[in-house]
Amino acid sequence: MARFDQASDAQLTRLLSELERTGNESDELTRLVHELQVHQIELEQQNRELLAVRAVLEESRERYADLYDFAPVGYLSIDGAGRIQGINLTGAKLLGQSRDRLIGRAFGTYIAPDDRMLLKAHIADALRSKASNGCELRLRTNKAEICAEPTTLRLESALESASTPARIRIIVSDITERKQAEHERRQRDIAAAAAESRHRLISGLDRLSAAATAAFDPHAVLIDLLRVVQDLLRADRAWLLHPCDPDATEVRILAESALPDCPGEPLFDRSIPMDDPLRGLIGSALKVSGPVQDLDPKASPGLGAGFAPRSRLIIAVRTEGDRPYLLGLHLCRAERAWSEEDLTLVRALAGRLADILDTLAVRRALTESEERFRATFEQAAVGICHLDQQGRFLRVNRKLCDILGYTQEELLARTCRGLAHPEDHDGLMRYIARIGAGTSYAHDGDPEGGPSLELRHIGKSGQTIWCNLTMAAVRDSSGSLRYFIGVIEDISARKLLEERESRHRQALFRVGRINTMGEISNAIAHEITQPLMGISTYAGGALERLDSAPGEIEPLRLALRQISRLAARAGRIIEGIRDFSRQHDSAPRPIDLEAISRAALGMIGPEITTNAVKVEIRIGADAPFASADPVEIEQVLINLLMNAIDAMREVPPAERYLFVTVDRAGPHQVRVAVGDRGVGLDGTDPSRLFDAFYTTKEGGTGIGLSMSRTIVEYYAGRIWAEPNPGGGAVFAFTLPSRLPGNSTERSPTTSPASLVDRPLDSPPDAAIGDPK
Amino acid sequence: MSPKSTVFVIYDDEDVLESLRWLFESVSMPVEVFGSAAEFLADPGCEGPGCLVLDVRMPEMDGLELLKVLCTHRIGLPVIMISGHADVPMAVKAMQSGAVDFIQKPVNHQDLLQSVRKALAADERFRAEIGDPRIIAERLEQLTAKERVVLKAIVAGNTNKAIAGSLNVSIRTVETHRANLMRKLGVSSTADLVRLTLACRLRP
Repeated sequence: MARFDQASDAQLTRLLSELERTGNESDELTRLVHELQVHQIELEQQNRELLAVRAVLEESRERYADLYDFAPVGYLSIDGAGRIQGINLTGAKLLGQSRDRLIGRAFGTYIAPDDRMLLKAHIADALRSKASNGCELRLRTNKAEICAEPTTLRLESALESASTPARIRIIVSDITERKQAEHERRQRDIAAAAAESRHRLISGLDRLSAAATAAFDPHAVLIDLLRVVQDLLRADRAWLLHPCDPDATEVRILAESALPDCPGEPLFDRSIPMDDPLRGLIGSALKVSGPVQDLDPKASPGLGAGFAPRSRLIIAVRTEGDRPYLLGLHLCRAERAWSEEDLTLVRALAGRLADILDTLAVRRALTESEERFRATFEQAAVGICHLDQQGRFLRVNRKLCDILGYTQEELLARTCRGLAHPEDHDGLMRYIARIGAGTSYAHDGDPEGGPSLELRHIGKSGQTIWCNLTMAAVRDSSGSLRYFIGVIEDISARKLLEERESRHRQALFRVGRINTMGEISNAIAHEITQPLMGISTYAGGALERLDSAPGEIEPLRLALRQISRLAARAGRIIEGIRDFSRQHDSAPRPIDLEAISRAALGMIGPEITTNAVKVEIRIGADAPFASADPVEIEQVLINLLMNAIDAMREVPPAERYLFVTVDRAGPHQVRVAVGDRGVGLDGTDPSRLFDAFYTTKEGGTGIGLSMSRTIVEYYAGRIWAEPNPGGGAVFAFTLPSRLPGNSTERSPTTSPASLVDRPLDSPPDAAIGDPK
Repeated sequence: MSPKSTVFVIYDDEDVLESLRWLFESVSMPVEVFGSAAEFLADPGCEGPGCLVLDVRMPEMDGLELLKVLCTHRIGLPVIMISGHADVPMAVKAMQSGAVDFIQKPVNHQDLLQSVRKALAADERFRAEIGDPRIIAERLEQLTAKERVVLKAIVAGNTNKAIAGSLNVSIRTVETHRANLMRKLGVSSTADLVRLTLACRLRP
């Protein structure tokens, strides 16, 4: 407009000046000039107005240009090919180029390559004048800024009306920040959702674990577990089936949890026969490690008795020790698409369930074993206790309380030693020390060397209780002692019986002794008459001499000395008889069988002498000591020797021979044999030989052998008879051997020294009681 | 000259043996002691004269067995048996076998000495009367067969009644035989009869 104004101004001015030069020519001209002058004034006025308008317009244009250029959004117009036709400053700034370099360039080159197709579509939409929802695009990023977040633009485009060729005006706004904010919010949402899902999972697992340990009864635990699963998965029913094995003939629902208003009957504790759909279901669960959605829940009627499951999720629960279980979830009222999260949760729950089932199985095994142990301990027919090294009770069972008469609390405040009979204290402490030291058991019948100890306890009411204590040391892996296990049996009844048996044995022993004495009384009488006759004869001779030669005193002195000596000899014989009837305390101790054999031979010395029996004693080089009562074993030997002598009464004196042998008869046995050359065993019943009152001897009582057997068997020995290869019989017995102790009695009697010193091959021909 | 009559003592107990020796020495009787029958039989003087004192019960060879052995050895010594109370049956047997006396323990020394003196006197008388065993053999020749049978039965210790039974004759017949043979043999007692037969190896 300015140019136009300038041009018209110049033209008008030129016209007016021409007029003035030609002026005065005419009025016409004057009028014309006037007219022109008016016109000029008008024009000038118009021009001023125009100028004013122009100023206004220019101001307005300036204002709009600023508005355009400095608008907060970018304006951009492109042609149909996408070339930029115009762009405001904001737009240029967004694209990061000066405006003049942008004009004519393709807009797409500034867009991220991934989004160019999007732009193309957007432009195409705009060209077709389609209403556009706008489009979001990312700008191309410089390689230098590759790490930077790309700028996101939002385009709103419209076809410019009445423009040819077609142009599209695009409003471009930078939504990067909003996008970022949105992204961040979304990320936050996702994180929150994940956290919630995780929380659900963890709390579910926690609830499972809590349920697993809440109840003691395994079945209650299972139900709790299923309730948790059912609740977490918002299912109507949750159940556990076993075994998850397609080869099983039937399966069983072990436990079930259902909503109270869930339709259908409970499935719990019902055996379900295996059918094809069930087999398929189980097979499908076993094929994968995760949960399986049952696509046709109505197909296995066994699992849907009385209700119509709409949705079902199953998963095999694989335990370590057992065939797998099958965990199932039912929805009965609605179908459900199980979410990924559900599936993850189910998988995690199933895993935990497997662990819990394993734990339950272990716990069940442990519980059973513990119950068995407790029952064994508590209901044992023997007293059982745990003791520490000092012998304090750590644990006692009921039977022990019964035996000792104390309550559990009273016992736990006491020690094993404190309850023992004072005389048994030392033995007990030695025994505990030996078990604690792990010393192996000694052999050879040491009464303190065995695996158990017999001792007396003092009961609460002060009574003596005979107990058999067997202890074992419990050690840790390093071998150091943890505690002792003690088993205590009340053997009072046995002891009473033993005592009675012992009394019986001793009575028998006395009868045997008296019997023997009766048998050898003749021989003793004969023996004792010898010194008596000597005395009488010396006295008679002395009297004769007093009559014939009263002055001779020396020979009388000799006679009196002889009389005195013979009286002493008679006295010793009587001492020997007293040995027969002496009392003794029956108690097993280490005994030397050689000494006892010689003692026995000494006791019946008169019988041997008067019967002119040759005696031989043979002692094996390694003959061990035995464990028995010496006097009783001596009596057994006397019985056997008397029998041997009796058996040879009809044999000519020169052939009367008996032997006694003592030998080792095995690692823990010693054998004693008495052989004779008598009538032998013919005519006897071997099975009755040792029976009471069985006798083949005239005037025999039948007590000797029976008593011998009673005594030998009491000391854990054996007695028997066998033919003597050279004629006659051999009676032999064994006894448990043992090492000679310090308290060894070499001989039970004091008399038989004479026999020991005599040569073995000659019969002892002097009476018992010869001076050594 | 004929040896002096001796008391022979056989006893298995040395103490008793010595006491007996001392007793007989106390009354100045010649005495010889032996611990066993075998020792005595081995002694060259065992045929006497004298008498034998022995314990009826001894190991190895008791009094009865010794009597038999004496018989086989033609030793006609009078024998005095010492026996315990329990040995009475054995002593009776011994008497029947020709022992002249038996003394029960405990022995009264006067009884023993008296018995020994009697036995020694009998031995002297017997030896004086019968003397040489060959004379006895001659006398035995005079016996009838019947009398020999009866003699054997008497020496074996049978009574007249038992002999009559076994020979199937009357007791009176036996008594007659007995009187006849005792007269023929010149003995007056059964003990002498036995000793006579012992001396002549006529085994009962």
